[in-house]
Amino acid sequence: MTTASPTFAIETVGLSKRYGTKDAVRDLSLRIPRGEAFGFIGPNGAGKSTTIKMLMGLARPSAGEARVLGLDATRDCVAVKQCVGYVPEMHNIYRWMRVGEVIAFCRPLYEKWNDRYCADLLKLFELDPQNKVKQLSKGMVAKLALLLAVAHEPEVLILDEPTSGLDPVVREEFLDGVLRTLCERERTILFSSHTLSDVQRIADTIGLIFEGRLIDHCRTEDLLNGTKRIRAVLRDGCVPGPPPEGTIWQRVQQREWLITVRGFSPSTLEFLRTKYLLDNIEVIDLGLEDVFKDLIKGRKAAT
Amino acid sequence: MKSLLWKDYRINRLLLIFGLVVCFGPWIIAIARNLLIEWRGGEAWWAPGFWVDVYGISLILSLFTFAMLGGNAVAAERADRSAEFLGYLPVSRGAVLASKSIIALGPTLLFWAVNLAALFIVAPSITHVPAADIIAKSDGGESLGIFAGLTVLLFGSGWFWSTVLSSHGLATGMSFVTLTAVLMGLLGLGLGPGLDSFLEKWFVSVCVVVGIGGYVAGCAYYLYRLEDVFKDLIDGRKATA
Repeated sequence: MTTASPTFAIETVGLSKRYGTKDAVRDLSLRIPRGEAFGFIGPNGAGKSTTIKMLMGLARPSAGEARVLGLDATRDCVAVKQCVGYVPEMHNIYRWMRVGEVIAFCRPLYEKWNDRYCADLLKLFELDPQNKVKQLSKGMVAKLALLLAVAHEPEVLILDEPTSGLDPVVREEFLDGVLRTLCERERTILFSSHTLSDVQRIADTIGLIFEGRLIDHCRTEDLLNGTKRIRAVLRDGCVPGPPPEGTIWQRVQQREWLITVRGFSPSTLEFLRTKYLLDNIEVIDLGLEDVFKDLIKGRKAAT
Repeated sequence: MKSLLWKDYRINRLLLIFGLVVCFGPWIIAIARNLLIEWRGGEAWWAPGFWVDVYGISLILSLFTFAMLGGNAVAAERADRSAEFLGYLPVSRGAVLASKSIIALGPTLLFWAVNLAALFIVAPSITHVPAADIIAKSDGGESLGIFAGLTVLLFGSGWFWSTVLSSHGLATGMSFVTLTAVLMGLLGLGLGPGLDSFLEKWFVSVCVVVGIGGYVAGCAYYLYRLEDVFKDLIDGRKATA
């Protein structure tokens, strides 16, 4: 298989998917450079899984195009799958097969299967080749799915809510496995999850999708450093007015005014101090989960 | 391709064992019975009618296997959603279809070959009666055509329903519903004034056309991923709801 060396591991241009009268994905243009870990987040039904399915050639776009390592995801879907490791939420591995049989079944289908790496992962994940898949716990099946996704040393790893339903210990082990594969070689990762602490731990950049549209795409640290919640206590009789520039969400409860600002700077505080009579003002750091919630709540309120 | 063949063989293993039993079973039982009679000093019935009877029983029983082989082909993996896992792997739909065709069509042809070999090679050599006479002694070869037509129809329509439905049991059942529909349709259209004429003139050819059409339509449906159209509509309705 010959592929050019495009700058972007994943690239979508005006990608759209329509189900009947509903737009699942609308005009999505996304570029993920090679070697980047990209966190793909959004509420349920936002279009994450549909986008991933189109990237894997499992669903046909209604409009636009999706490219993985320069290959058209729909037309060259077999070639795309050769260089992509995919872990879905529902693994659906043949339940009647033994672990060893699943590996033996998948191995000849890939051009670059690494037996030694596979054996290492079997040991690391404590998977017994003699066990049947139906006898494995959900966590062990997730680990097997990860093993199958990385044993052919793919350039791109796509994880679609892979830790959903796993207990914290197994989730931790699974993420360690993902991080291990990240460290071993330059690999592009697209990681979609509702567990935002996991995304925060892995992702270099974050893409936020809402109602099928990509509403934010930036570096994780920029998002976290530049997004702050301001807690202002208004003086008696003072009424809140226009919020500072970059406000993504706000809530007033009695005298307490909570404002989440994207692109926070000292001038944001200055604006509030000069415009309103305040008894107190403080800046609160936010985790990815809080930023995500406020962005979505703000969007919902705006619409 | 090898691993796909192995996987499809494993999925159909029980069905293939069942097929072997119903195909070879009548022959083994009938021949063993005759040998036992001869061993006890009796005179076994090796006449041409014996061969025609056993071949008839073997093929009638095998018809269920042919319908199940067609009905199992694609739907079995959809039923437990393992088809989705297969979808993530770097194999073309053509290769998947080829593997399924080999595993389903191969045994079908084998079971037919066993019966034809018994009728046209083994029976003449034992009875010293030419094969044509053996066939003529039963029904002039009409049953051979009917069995062939039924095989093609049950397998082909089972295959088609298997590519459309997510239940292999239902797909197999639908192949018999298709057979019933063909029978009712032909009788209803008055294409057969008498049963003999009906069977001779129309039944076999319609079965073959419907069966081959079902197989080709099923393959096209699978290859061109038309299933996504229906799936998308269902997903869309869910998403809208």
